Amino acid sequence: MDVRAQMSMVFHLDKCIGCHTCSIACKNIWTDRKGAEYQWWNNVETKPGTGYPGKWENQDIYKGGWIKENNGKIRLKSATKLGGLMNIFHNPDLPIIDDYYEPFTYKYLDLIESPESDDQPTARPVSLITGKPIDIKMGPNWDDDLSGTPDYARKDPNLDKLSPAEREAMFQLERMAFFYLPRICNHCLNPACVASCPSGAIYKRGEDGIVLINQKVCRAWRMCVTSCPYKKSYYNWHTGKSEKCILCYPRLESGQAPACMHSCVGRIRYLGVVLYDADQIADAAADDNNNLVDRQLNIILDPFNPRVIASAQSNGIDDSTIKAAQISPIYKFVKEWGLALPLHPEFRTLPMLFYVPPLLPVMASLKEAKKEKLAKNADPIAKIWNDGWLYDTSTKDLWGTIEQARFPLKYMASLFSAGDEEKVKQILKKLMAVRIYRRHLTVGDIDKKKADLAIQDVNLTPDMVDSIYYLTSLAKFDDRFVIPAAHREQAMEMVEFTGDTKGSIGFGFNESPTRSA
Amino acid sequence: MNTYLQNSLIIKSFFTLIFFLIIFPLYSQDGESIFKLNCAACHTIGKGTLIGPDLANVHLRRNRDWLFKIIRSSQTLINSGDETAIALFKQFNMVQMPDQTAFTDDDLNAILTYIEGESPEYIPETETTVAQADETPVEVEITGKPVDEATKEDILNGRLLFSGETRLENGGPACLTCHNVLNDNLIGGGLLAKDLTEAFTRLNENGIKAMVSNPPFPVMRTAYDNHPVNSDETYLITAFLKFADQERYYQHHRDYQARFLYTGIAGFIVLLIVFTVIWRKRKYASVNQKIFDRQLKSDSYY
Repeated sequence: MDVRAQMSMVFHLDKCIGCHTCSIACKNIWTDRKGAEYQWWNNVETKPGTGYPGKWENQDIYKGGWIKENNGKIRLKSATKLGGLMNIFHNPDLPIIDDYYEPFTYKYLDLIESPESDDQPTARPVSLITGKPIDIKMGPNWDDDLSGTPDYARKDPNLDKLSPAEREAMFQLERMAFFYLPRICNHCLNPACVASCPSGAIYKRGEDGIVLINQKVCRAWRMCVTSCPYKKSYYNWHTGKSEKCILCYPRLESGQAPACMHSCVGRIRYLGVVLYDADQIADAAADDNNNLVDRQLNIILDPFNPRVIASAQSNGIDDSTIKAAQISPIYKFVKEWGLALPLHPEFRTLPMLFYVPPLLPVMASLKEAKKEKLAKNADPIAKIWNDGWLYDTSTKDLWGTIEQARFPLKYMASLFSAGDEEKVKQILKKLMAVRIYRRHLTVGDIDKKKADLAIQDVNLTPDMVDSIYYLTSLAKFDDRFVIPAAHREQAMEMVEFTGDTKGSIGFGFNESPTRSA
Repeated sequence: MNTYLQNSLIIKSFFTLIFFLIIFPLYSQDGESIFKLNCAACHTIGKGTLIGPDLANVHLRRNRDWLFKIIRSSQTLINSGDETAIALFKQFNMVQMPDQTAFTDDDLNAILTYIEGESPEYIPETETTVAQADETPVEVEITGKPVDEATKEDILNGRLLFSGETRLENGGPACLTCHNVLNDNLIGGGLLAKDLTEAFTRLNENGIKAMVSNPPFPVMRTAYDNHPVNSDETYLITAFLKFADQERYYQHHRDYQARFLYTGIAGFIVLLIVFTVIWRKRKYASVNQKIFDRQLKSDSYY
């Protein structure tokens, strides 16, 4: 057992309202620079949709992630030894700027400074790359505005696994639904970007598992851009280096939550440390498709287990970090409650960002309830509105609405469980059970027997339901973000012996101090 | 700065100045050394014709101004239509004399004084003497080991020196860098300086030896100033040049002309095909291209 610590995340998709505040917070801090205008280290996608960059989930186009070979081992999809050599000076699978979008701004000053004329002045859009006026062709989330058009939602790569009839059903009027999928770097346990870098510029930080690109070592090969299946490594055309989400490590080191999480309006984001067993990574990443999720979740260790704690301590993990892992919201969501799943585990990078799948609006029937008879026969859950309409969400079967969800389970399974519908179904049932139980407590129109039956059916206890409810709906800042002290001083000692600089000036910066006159 | 350093600098520069004041006039007026360094490769005084004319008593045959002009830039004089200069140019196989613009008047006077001192008794130029000189050139003693005795091995070694496959002892650049010689065993040489295929006929043995060991041309002299070619190497290179000269009719001409261009174009096309095959699965267009193609462009409204 080789216990290490990882900063891990959970995004609760049921709570995301798609406001893009996270994206803007991130952009303002990190990517509001020349060459980085098109980069969205955090972006929010509308699902179903093609995403950003377009169709990023389709690895036949972008060649990201790992694939399993016949000998049972995995290799990068983007490169074999010979293929990597062939492509070293021209990588044919790179996304181009049009796959993202051409970044633009508006000439706002024209609104103020234009001379008087018969027409109102307009602010023309100009490209942030060429500086010339352009026609805006695309933005980082045009799915949001144009979902449902043939170009966007219907081109979602996850729909490939659905039958044409199922696909068509999703886009019927009055049945159409969508949800938001915020994405940042997953800070994977088996990162393809790190494996692909010819310069060795990308590394996974020992103390918290944050994946970083050393800007002084990066040589612009851009293999990471191709290899990352989530397309979360971006090439800065101005500096000639690749960049990616740094999980706001300067903020983490000072005890603050990352900007995207801090600013999240829906409070969908949770951050915490998990302890994992690094010895299992190789086997877990190479397991069969239908075991992938289980194997990945098995890597995460119980932070209360004395053996795990002892092993963590022998690996130099500080007690404060272990304590943080014990109260980590991530461990609760992912392991204790089993509510969260990784995004696209079939890419085999073992992503450490987990999603609580959305329990989409349940199906209800809407009938005119003028006939007294119908109203009498309706389920107690059904609401008869003042204008005489019957809004009925009840079914005879307890979990009937899960099966009839507006999104086919197959679609969710394609996103979160490498096609295993049962896993997604279990989670949706749990979410539903919590709702039924809370409805029993607060509204009172569901009897205790039915509520108890619902939570027993999914192996939850009333205590667990209470904690799920608390962490989902009432959690305070410090409940959602459990950030241990960074212990950079100890992390540094893993890399170099600090005694070397003892007694000398400073800590070995390359730049000598300059003094003003 | 302290006074001691200042003093020592002043003293040093003072002595340096004195040194040059003494040395410089001596150097510049030493006609013998200037002649041997700059002229002797092509000219003798009373020992017969090498590449250029024998300069014995030249001060009596030509006036001083004319001599100054032809030494400084023979081609300028020829182009200006000077008949004597043109006649000499034709008489000596149209070999251009390199311009010697660096000489001061004092230098030239020193050279002429030296020539004057070395010249044998003057025989006035008559038609008979000129004719005699043309018909029976003065038998010149071969300097160094004569190349007539060169073995096949010598010629081979000469070729290796010429092409640079064997390094010159003092590290000078290989001849091939600037000169071309038509020979099947050599790759094409440089075009920066004269083609040496017929150099042996043009310059004869002594001339080549002189030019190799003591180059009169400014660029070549700079190149070999600190890396002189030793006498053995001179002999070997001369032997090879003689051989190349004799054999020149049996060599294949390497004049690629347009073939070179066509080969380049064909090679380029082959490369394109190879890369098309290697990268045949590349992304040809943006994944959004179909969307863009359908979008209306504001240009169409203008």
